[in-house]
Amino acid sequence: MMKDNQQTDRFQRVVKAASIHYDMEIGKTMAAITDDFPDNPAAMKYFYEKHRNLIRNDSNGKLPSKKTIATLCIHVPVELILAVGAIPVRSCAGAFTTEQLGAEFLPAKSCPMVKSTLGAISYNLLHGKVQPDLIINPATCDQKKKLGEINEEISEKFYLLEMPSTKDSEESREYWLQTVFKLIRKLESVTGNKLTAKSLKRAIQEVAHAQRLYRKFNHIRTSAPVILGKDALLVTNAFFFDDLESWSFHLNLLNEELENRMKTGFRVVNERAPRILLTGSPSVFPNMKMPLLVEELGGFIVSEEFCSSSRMLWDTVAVDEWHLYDMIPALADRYLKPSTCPNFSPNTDRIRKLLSAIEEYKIDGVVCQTFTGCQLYDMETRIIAKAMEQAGIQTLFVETDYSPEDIGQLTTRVEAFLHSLKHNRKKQLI
Amino acid sequence: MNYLQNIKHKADRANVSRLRFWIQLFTFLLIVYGGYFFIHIGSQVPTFACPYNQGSPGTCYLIAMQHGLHLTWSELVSYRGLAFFTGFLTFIGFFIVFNKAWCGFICPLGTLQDWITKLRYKIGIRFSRYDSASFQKLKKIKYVILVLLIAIPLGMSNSFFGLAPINHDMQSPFCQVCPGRTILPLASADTSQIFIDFTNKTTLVMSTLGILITALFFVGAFAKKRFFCFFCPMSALQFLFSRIGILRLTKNGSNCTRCGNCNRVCDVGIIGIAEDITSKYIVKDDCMMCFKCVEACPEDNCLDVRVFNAKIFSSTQEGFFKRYIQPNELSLKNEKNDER
Amino acid sequence: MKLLLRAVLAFCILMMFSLQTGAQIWISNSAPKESSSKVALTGMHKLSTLRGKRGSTKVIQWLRSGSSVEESLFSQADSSAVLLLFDPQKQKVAVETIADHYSSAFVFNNTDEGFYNLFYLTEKVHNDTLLIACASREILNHSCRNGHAKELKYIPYKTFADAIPMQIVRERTKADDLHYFVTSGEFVTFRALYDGKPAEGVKMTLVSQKGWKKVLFTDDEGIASFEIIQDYFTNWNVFDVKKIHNYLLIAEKTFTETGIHQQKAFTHIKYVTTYSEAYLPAKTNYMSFVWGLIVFFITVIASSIAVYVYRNRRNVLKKHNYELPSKY
Ligand code: SF4
Ligand code: SF4
Repeated sequence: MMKDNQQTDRFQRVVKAASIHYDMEIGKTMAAITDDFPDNPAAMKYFYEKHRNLIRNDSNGKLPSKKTIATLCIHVPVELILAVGAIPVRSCAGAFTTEQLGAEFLPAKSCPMVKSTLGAISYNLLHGKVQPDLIINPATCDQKKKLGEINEEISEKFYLLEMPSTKDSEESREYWLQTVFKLIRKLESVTGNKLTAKSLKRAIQEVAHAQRLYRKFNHIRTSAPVILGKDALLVTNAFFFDDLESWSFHLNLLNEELENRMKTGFRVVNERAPRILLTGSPSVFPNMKMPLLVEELGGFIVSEEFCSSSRMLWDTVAVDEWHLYDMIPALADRYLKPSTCPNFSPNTDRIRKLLSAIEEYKIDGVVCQTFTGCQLYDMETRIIAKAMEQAGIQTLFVETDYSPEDIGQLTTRVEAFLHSLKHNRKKQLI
Repeated sequence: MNYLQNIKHKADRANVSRLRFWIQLFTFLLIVYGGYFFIHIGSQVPTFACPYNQGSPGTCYLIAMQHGLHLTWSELVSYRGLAFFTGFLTFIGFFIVFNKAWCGFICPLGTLQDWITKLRYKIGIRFSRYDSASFQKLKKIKYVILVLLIAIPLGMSNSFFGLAPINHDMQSPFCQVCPGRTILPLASADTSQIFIDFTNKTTLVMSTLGILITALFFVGAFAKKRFFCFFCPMSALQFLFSRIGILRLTKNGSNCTRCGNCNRVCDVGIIGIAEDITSKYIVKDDCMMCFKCVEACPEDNCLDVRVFNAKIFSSTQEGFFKRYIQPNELSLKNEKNDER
Repeated sequence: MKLLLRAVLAFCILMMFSLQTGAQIWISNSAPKESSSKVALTGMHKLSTLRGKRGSTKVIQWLRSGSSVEESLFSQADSSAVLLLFDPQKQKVAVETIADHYSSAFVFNNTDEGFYNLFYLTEKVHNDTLLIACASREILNHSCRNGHAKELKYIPYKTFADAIPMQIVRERTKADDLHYFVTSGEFVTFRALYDGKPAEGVKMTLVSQKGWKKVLFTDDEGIASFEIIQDYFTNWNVFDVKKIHNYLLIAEKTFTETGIHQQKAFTHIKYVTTYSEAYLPAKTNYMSFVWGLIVFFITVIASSIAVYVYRNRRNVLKKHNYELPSKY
């Protein structure tokens, strides 16, 4: 079994080598993030450190007595995990190193994120090197669905969270609610704790508090160019594995610093920098290829529509009566109804969300990335292209993966795109 | 202008539900006991100001309408018809000021149901909801009642399709089954409306129905929020004129994420409030303009309450969190994020 | 020919009655059997009305003579009599007399809401006694169709000391509003007013529809209370709750006083005032509070159980064998 395998020499050697590689990959990305740019906010230091030490230790400020529960998607209600006294860790991986490890299990054309995640789980290379007691895997896209079956050594820890394939029908809502109830039972049996109205209320409120800060953060960065998108992405990425309380605390500090910047009129980019909206397959640290590229070449990422950032934190739970009978359905609704994940059909809400963001944040151009092998995003790209064309928004569609090979080619395309945006803007000014 | 914006900013963070509770308490006392204080608001009140209750300061328009329509065709086109028409205009005049907020803020039966809900919440018994298929079916009932309530009085004075005129025992048919008639006089310690009338078959059936519905009112309101409102012909009548109301509830669909928060907190369980992203005027048939949805909407300026076209209360992110996060629930080191 | 015969007969009987002190004149709301088809009992107070042109209606009341509600004869108004009508604002308004061969009816427009007061006064000397007879009625006019502009509150009685020497008024009760109707089983209190002041020792005789009689004398406040009894019985399935009965109240008082009236000397003055009103069967005859409560509680219990069972079966939590923590 898993434990036996972990004893083998080969396993140990792979883990050791991969750790070193992974660490190097992190170092490289962090260097690009911190060193290539001036004006990094001081409060970002906490988030930089968090990421630098991503796989260096396994404490990450967490109490070892608590159970750790890995989630593989934003559709897992983290409030439930918090309420049963466990620590949620979002374990979608963005490392090229672990992608290569995962390639051993999966077909060549699979999505890099799925590969990377499976690799990281199989070789104990999750964030903070945690060893989760349970891995909750929502059955969203086809590749994720099958994830738990492939490596039988870890499959016993997998818990498939069933998902409806549409969110509009009442049946799907009902089905999803049942799924959530089943999940609660699973969580209770894994942690040995009961879900109570009190603990759930507290969890909901704590997450809501974090969301409130995040929304404020979002408001700041969209109304004044005081922080770059690559930093914003690190903030949301830290939510994957950081302790909720300290994450909120440091985000609040960052907000305060940014507000000061706003007051003094300080800006991190000049006003000619095109305002970019990122969307598509999610960028997960250390895969910061696209965001970094855009901003290194003079773009300014105002907002992202990613399930690794805004989509994870934006939507709220609204409870009418603070008893479990209302809290649980409210929670279930929050993770289903407003989701703009392309695994739902129809998914017109995503287009509407993009269009309203474009208008509200005064976006000049949209960059839409798709991972090679990610079929759903690839298919939806066409729908988005049409909608953007109708709205008259210039859009760059790129297909990429976790390997650094295509940097050169991407640089050229992004450069050209930004150039044309600037050009357009000038035309508009005249 | 800045001053106004400031006020608006404050208003958006306000807890309307709490305010509503106090307004409801006040209006409840007014509608149930106002008559004892020589308050008189006429006989076209667009809410259940039941005249069977001694303390009522006015008369519910439904009874006035049923009486007013007890006309033969020739009377209908004579001065009596004109009197009915002016009464009707008065009703509309009253109605458009608050629009359906008559239901959410003033109706004494609505208030009573809200109090029953509060009680249930205290005890911790869960509430029920209709599934959407039943919702669509059941919501038509109130229109059927409204049509009957108009047709029966006319049928008492005239013969429809050569049928004999309806028996006079059907006088004010809705009042005979209205829970307001049985419940509101109780507030004046008057139990005389609780009876079964054995006079003849018609009265026997109608009075038993009345008691039955009263009983269901209590049981229903305990199991489901605003149970009765769903079948209320006053709500149906009001909705016909809701579009010309001065108080408005509007929605900006492009800001909506269809998160369903509004639908979730809606006491009547209106689905359209979340799903409809195209209508600007979002007041649906059953809406009672309680504005709980505006409170629960976490998107800026998605749902707005307006007087004519001026926004007086809007959904905001800030307001949402302010209302929903109870700081004493948090163990946070930093509390000053409340202020912006 | 037949008509003439009848008129003669009526006259004879009238003469006979008027010779006895028992024959009283009073104003009645019920029409003679052979009255025109234009006359009907209408409105919530079941007033006799006469249908005119273009749907307009007028109130019509008859003069009768006798001391039985059902048997009293319809009689003709005396040309020397005084007929007075006051509207709810106590203003004198016109009233028209329609007479045929043997009866007289008073007809007027009821445009205002509230009590109209109708009086018919005669004076004559008979056997040393000056007889001042007054037939009176309080006629409540209200239609819910006109709305309820007036508050639904009790309306006080009005006194007409200037015009009427001895007046009978019905004391108002708490429930006395525009919708009030006397019902059998109720105690009705009358007050005799002489010169506008309470008159003691007035002999009051109440006669019910079927002829049941009771005599009382007023106390020092001029008050006498009668229970209006239900004086007939039917099976419940044919029971008519809207059945209108009338009672007749006769108040008499004689004073020793000498004088001359129309060249006739008298030694006594006798005041006789009549008052009549309609009443309905008591509500307790056909309405049951207890049954109301029984139905109410049965429904509450039954529907609560139904809701409980239904919800229990559809309880998602239960379905998942999910134990309910604390408050659920
Ligand atoms: S709460 Fe607001 S954003 Fe959510 S569905 Fe309702 S209107 Fe839309
Ligand atoms: S739609 Fe909104 S205002 Fe209308 S009843 Fe529902 S919550 Fe209240």
